[in-house]
Amino acid sequence: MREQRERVIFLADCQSFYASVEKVEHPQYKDRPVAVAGDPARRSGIILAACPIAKSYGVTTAERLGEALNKCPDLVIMRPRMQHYIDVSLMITQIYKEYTDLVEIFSIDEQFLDVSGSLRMFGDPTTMAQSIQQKVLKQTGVNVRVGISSNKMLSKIATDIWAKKNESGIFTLPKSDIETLLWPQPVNKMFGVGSRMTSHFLRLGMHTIGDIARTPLPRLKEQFRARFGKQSNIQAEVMWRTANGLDDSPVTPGTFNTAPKSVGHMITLHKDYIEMDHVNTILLELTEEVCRDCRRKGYMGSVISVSCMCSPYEDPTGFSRQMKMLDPTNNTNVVFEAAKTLFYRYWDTLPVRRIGLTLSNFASDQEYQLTLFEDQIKLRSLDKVTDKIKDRYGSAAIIRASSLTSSGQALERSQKIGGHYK
Amino acid sequence: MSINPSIETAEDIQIIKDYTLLPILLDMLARDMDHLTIYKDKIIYHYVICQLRDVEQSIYPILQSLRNRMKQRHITILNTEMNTLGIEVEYKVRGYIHHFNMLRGLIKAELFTMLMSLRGGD
Repeated sequence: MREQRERVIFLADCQSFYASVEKVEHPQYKDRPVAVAGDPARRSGIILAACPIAKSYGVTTAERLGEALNKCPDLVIMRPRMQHYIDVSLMITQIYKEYTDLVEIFSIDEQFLDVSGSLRMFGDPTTMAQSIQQKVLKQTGVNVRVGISSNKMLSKIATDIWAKKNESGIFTLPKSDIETLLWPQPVNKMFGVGSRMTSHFLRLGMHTIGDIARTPLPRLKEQFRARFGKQSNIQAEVMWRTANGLDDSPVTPGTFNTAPKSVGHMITLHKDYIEMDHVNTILLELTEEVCRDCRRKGYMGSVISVSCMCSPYEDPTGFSRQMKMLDPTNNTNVVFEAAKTLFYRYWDTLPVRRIGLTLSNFASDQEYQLTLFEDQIKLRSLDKVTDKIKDRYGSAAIIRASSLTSSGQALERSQKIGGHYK
Repeated sequence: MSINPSIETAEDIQIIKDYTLLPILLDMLARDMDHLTIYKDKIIYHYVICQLRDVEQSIYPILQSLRNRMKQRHITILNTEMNTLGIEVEYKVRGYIHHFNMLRGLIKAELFTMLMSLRGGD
């Protein structure tokens, strides 16, 4: 019988991705600290990425722009260009696909590669990783760090703990070495463990990753149940498997091609919204976006969820409620009426700071229930033609009249992707 | 040269990159010199045109040397295409087909760096 070989998985991570892209396209800032941040013109927002020089001044990702400028007054701030970063990221994915067809996008700057089947073509994993680094650097100017191991979890850990810190940007973590290399590491270095989980582990007397790995699983589950309640068995098992470097999940190229369970949009408002008219404007804009996404994907939702966070920001109140609509739909006007019904049923008139709207429980939009009282064909055609105009000329090409009022956010949102400038 | 023919070396990729960018730089120089000839009676513009012509002349031997190196390394360009995003090059290295893509923003930055180095700047 053929012996089963161990898989070879890479996790390729782009160093300070957004900042690297900007720096390479602005050679005049080659030796200066550069950061990509919210909105430099308004001097507001957070640091999305900082180049290694900026990091050496203590500038960190996600800190406020003002704080970063205090640490490094010479910092060159650049406005994000999300669409461009997506284009560069797709190009990098395309480079990886020259080495293996099994490339899974993990985030905009991280991809998993299963190169087990390509090693005969390209030699040993380290040579292959070096070749990938060279090609990405020459084509995009971005430095790539590669963690190599036998599964996705260990390759991610290899990148985060070692490859990002060493000179070559490549680190191999064989499964046989986890006891000597991984287990002595502090718990906060483990993937999936943040500051709060670290303090939980410390209270449980677990200081290193090895402490978690060596705890028998039933015992760990028991400890988690005592701390987090009955539903924490899965979380305990995930932690235990991570600490032991166990991960059987395959590298799946089409991770994002699966059918969505829900489609939603959320907006944090720049000021408190108190008037009903203002809230309605935002609800309509969100409905328009959600329904447009559903129509693009070919789904109709039958469950609508509305969430709302009210001021003050430090001690927020709010709600998140859902209801079933009569029939599945992706028609903006129908969903908007349902959204209003749901929102005003639970809103206690406190100033609104954040609103979200989600459609779920999908059915295909190829078949729909006809009604006697509505010209559905006409309504669907209207949505279709609006979508076509937006697809061709941009989201701001045609908008509702209410979006032109002071409370409307559609024009500004059309210039952004995921809350950052395109 | 690499032991494994299917793996491109850093030098191979650099050759392809230079061989892709230099003709674009030549086009750019020709176009800009053409624009500047309108003002050739003005001494400063005349000086700039002379400088640019020197740069242009220095590119041809580099291209020739790149061609020789490509021959030695069995590199052949199969197809070059410009599109809205940037440039796509399909080429063969020691019998294996590879692709080289560059986005417009990076091409512009690389051309600027190249121009600076050709005129002996920083």
